[in-house]
Amino acid sequence: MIITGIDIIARIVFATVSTITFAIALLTYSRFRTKKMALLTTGFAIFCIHGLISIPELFLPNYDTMFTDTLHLFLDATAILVILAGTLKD
Amino acid sequence: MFKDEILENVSRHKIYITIKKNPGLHLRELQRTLNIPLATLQYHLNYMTRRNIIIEEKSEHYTRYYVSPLEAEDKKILSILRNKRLREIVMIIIVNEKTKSHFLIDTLKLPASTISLYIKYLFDNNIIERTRVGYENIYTLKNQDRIEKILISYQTSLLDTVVDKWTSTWLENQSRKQKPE
Repeated sequence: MIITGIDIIARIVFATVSTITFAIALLTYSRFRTKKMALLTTGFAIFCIHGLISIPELFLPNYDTMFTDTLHLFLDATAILVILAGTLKD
Repeated sequence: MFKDEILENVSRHKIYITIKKNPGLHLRELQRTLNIPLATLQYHLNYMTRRNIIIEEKSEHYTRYYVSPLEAEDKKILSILRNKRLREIVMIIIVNEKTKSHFLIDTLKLPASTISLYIKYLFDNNIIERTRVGYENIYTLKNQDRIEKILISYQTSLLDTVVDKWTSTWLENQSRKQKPE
């Protein structure tokens, strides 16, 4: 896969933003332990993991996550679904 | 009444923070640093010494003040009271000595379901206790002295503000009305 400059910026921004969001969610959960917060934190954790696993590929030519586009979409859909469940939970 | 109590708490907080930053300050130094009337300062110092929030050490000429370290249980409560809404509920109970959930709903302008959630959280963590009177629950603090000590020692941070905003975004946007606990 050819990685362009914009690709590098997009991946780094995604990984950074998702990590910050996950950190805030985790901190909130550590102070406010409810099922709702647990679901939201899990959702943002999936986004964070997704962001982080796409970073080594930028620097290690032999690194391959074996992730297809479908699998990427599946991960994002799962994260959104978990966040939705957390939002709707009382 | 509510404002007075809060202002008193703010003064005590200022005194506490000054002593924490400068352990061993004596009365006159404290008075010069804070610019508070001596009688008021003495009243707050006595209040905090009685509740073991600060420790006084009498030497030959001076009485020096130090902050009393937080115990493990205090730290656990402090981490809970870092949340702004939970702190507000606890402050309302301190000022009124007891409260009903309807009063909290009216004062904080939050949905009943959200207030119910916060109350349940405080109750589950042994910060408040409830007494059933007729059809309603009356909420009181379980250990007022300990809670007051923790509130005085609490210092807000940017991280707390971010977490408060995050909590209110996900917990306080429920328009659906629900019968309070």
